[in-house]
Amino acid sequence: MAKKKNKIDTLLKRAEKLFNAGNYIEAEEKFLKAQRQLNSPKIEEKLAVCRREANILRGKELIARGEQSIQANNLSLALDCFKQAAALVNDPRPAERILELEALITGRQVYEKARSAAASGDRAAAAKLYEKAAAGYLDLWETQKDHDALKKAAVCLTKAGDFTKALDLFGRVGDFDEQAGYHFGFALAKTGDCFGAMAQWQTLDLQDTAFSEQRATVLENAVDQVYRDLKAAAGNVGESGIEERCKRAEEVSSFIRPDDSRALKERIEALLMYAKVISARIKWEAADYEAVVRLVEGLWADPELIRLKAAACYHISKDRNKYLGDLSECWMDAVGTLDVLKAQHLGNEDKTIEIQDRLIRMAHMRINTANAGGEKESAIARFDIQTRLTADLKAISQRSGKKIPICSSRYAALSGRSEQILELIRENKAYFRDEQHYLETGGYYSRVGSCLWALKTGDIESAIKSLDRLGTESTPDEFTQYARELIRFEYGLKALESGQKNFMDYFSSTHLLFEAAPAIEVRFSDRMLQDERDNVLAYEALTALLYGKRPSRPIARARSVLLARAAIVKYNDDKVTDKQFRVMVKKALELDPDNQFALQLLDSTNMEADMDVLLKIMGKGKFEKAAQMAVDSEYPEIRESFFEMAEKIAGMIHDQDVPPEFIKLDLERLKAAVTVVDPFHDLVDNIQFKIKTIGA
Amino acid sequence: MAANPYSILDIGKEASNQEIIRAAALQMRQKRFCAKEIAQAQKMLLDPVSRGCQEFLYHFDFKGLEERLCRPLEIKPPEFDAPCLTLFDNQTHDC
Repeated sequence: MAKKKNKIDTLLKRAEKLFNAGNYIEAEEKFLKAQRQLNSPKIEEKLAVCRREANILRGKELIARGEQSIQANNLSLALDCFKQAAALVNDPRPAERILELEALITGRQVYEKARSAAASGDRAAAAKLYEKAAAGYLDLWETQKDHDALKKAAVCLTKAGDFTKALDLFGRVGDFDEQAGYHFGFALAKTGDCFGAMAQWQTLDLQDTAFSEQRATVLENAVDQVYRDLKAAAGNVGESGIEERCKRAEEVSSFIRPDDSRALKERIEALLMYAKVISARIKWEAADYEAVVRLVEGLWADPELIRLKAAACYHISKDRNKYLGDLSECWMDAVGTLDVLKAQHLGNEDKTIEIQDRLIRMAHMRINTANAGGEKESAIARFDIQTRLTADLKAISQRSGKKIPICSSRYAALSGRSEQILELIRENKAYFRDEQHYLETGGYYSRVGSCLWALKTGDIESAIKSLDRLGTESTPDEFTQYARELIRFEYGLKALESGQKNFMDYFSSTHLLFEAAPAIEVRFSDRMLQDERDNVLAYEALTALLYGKRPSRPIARARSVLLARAAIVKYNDDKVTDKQFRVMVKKALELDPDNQFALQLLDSTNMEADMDVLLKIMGKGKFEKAAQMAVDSEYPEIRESFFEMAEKIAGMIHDQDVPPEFIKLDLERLKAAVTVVDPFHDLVDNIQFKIKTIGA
Repeated sequence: MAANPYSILDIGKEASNQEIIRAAALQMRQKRFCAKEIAQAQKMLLDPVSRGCQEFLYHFDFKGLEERLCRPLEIKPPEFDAPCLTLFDNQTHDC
């Protein structure tokens, strides 16, 4: 009996321990075993607590499992879990979830039926079922305020074809996933708001052919809507919303994607241009010419646009020193458009040429009388070049009897006429006064024409940068090759002057430029001959490189002068010996025997060498030899030096501390030598007097 | 260079010489511009070459330009009558 009591006590102790630790499920089990034997009211109380708490734990576990099942899209398992949990816990949440899940499951079932109906072609049945599914989701939205249900309802209504109601619901949806975004856009497109539809679809990144086709059609319709809206506004005088509509045109252009069709892209471009022109008209009427230039910048599709820009630039530059560059760039093209426009607009057809000439003079005067500084210098250069090019193209046109588009290189490039003009230049090569004239004219219309413009209008930095950006092609045409080498040559000289270490890189193919345009070579050579310059050693190295690749007469002359000058610089810096110096000067003379500078240099070098020898032999007392040298020398300076030294030596001999007969002997020798050079020189009597003094 | 002579004389592009002279006289009476400006405007428009230049600078056929630019946009695109795509029907958390 005692043994049995001990067993129950142990059981109760374990049950209490589990109870206190909160392990109600296991505690319940132990208490139940003990109660069977003791039937105690105290144990019954404990058992009641254990049962209640265990149910709560089980309920929580089921709720968690239910939520997990929702996440795993297993709605029926989730529903089962929540139903079990509802029976165990006194919590409203499982009941709410049950309602939600039942609605979702019903909705899904209805939705699946709707899909099947749609797939089998029964659109009417599908629409009804989608509406039913939507109603279910709406109920859920009403009761649970579940935004996901609202989205699903809107999607179902879109599928049912009730776009107005669907749009109303989409209007209340806060965040759009791809599914909602697509259906919202679809509903908008179906109700005629293609612009709004595109705004919705813009962010969708779907690689689906059917969607791409829908998108293209909707975008085309959006463009059409914006266009018709803009056109209607533009037709009404005083329409205030034009700017806003123009902005819409810009927005619709932002919907374009790289893989959209060319036709669609062209349509959007046309819309943008149309919007810009309408804006430009409004700005023109308000005399806001700067805005006009900004709007029509880069638009060359119509001759009127060129004239509009040119006239706006002309008006701006009247009071301000601005837009001279633009004016010089587009003026000749604008004047050229009169050929096309005269029949349509200008009343004085027979006066066209006079009008064109007057207009050119007007622009010339406007640019030249502008205040100094700013764009003036480059504008003058640009206008002069444009005038020359126009004159040349006109002359070619007359000469060849071919009607060609006479336009600036920029306009030619934009309108795809560059090749046509280049071909004509080639065909009429004989027209040009020399190769350089021919190549330079073509250069402006070549692939690197914009770089050549930059060079010729004084912006050498941007010329070389643009050239680098354009890269090199394996077989450039002669015009591109010329322009490229010219820019590299000019920039190379600038790099040399500014002390850049890699300046030689720019001259690697300058010989090709010189071959094509010897006048540039001659000009370079003349510059080298004319002025004293810094960086003599760099120029000498450059001419060495150029001469190595093209040993022409002009380069030989330039190199000769620079070599002689470099010899002086090196000699003065103790970098070469006398002998090396003479070798360099002689080399300079070999390159150009007429190099007067080198000739003089060599002459004075020879005299100095003779002088050194004279001093040496006089110092050694070889008076006769020195006298003979003075007689033979072609330099009067040698004779003069001989007498100067002889006078000094006479004094030194006279003052020597040696026996008089030795002094007398040396003086006699010196007198004899002086007499050989000039028997009537004062020094002869002078020495004779010294001899007599010793004798006394 | 004076301002827009057409504006000074308040006349259109097509004005005849007689209309120009009449407009100049009227402007002289109205004194909106100084006599020198009015005279200069009249002179400019009576000389055919000078008038051609002024037309070049001040008159643009915006209407014609807009019409030309409109042409490619006048073609109506096809209507949007495609069905709603089932592209998203199999997504997780589907309807």
